[in-house]
Amino acid sequence: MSGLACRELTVSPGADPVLRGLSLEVPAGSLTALVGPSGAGKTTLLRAVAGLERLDAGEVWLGDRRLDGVAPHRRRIAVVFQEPRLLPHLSVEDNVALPLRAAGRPREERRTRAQGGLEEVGLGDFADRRVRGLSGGEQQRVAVARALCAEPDLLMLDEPLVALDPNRREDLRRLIARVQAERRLTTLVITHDRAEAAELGERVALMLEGRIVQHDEPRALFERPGSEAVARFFGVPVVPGEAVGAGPGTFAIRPEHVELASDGPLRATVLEAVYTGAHVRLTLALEGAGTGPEDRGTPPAGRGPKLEAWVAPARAPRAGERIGVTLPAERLWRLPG
Amino acid sequence: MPLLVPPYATGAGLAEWFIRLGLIDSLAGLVLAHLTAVAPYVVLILVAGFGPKLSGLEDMGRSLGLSPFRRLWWVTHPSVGPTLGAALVLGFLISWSQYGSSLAVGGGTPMAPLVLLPFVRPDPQVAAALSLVYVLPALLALLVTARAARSPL
Repeated sequence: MSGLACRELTVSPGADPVLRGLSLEVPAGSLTALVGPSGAGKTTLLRAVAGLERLDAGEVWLGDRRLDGVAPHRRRIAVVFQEPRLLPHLSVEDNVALPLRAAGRPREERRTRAQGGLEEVGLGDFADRRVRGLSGGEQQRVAVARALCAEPDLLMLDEPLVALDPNRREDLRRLIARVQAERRLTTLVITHDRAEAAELGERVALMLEGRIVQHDEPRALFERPGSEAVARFFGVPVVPGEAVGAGPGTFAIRPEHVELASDGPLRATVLEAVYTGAHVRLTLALEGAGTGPEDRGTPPAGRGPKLEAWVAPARAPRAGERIGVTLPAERLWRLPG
Repeated sequence: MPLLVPPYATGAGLAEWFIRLGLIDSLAGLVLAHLTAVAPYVVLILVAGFGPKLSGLEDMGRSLGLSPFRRLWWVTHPSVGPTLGAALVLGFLISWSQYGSSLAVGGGTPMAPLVLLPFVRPDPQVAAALSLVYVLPALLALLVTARAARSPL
């Protein structure tokens, strides 16, 4: 069992650096979801740790082994890529047993362990099937079984759920979580979806522009973002304001914690009301909030600070209405700095 | 370029250059002339087969512990096998059908199509039998490329 530690990684696959002094630790036996917008460098980090991308600077440690400089096939890392990447000329079983074949295991052992791996991912009777006839979800499961067969010290998955439809996605997510928990495997999962990251990870690391900007338990990222950029990525509206006794600052509040009340201390205009299935998402323009004492005038609609609120469909106001808003003090999070 | 230009134009240009370079009527010249026609097709097929999907599979092999030699043998070789086969057969087919350039540059080197073609004219029965000989490489090419298409990369 060994944890992953990346220290000050700089990687430039093209001309410009994609990772800029990135540091990340995944404690032994834990699962971290690495989340970030497209182009943040998530896949580059995975490739750098796996040894598929050259480091310009920095160190990669797995337990007490230093990995940078070690050939990829000697790193004891298994990767599940975005697409399954199965070998079409081999049967399902031979695909799963590929890492064992690489390790020179005898045929009998390969058979039993591949079968065991397939049963673990719920494909027990698929051993002799051809790869070509499998659905996308089944192929991705085979890829997971293959990665587990390698008995790696570190498992990395690059957007493993992205190509699947919602129901299968949920199944595979459960499978990954279960297998990781059973084996206590140090795991890094990449995703661009913040909800998926929260569902997958005991801990979530947010990556923006080649750096980890916050690495914490999921709730912390959603409710106590460390900066405006973090808040923006996790969909937390940010409003300027003034806390009693603490001076002006910037505050974040989750849309589901914003309360509508006709006698609320803040007035707002509903700019947009969108029905999303579970709730109505309101975009509100606050009037007069956040402006200094010398400017208490009402800003024109749409120009003031914006706020998002999620309300039950039955109680939702329409676009254009003026409403009162309450921001419960215990739900407000003051951004540092 | 040879893919886009009519074969007669390519052939005439080649003949002129080969005369200047002293390659005309030589085996080397003949091989060069055929390569000019064959290379574009072969390159097109190989580019398709050696694309990002292959490097994806190779990265998979690397990360799962395959040493470079085993990776070549178990991942790269079987993955590009059908592509290589298709390129080989199609290359042969193009070369087989190079009647004009063989005649223009070869200086009488006995190539199968050149030797056989005169027999086609006089006797319909011989012509019929010969047409089978001509169609054989094409059939073979069809079979191999069909197999390559079933395991696309």
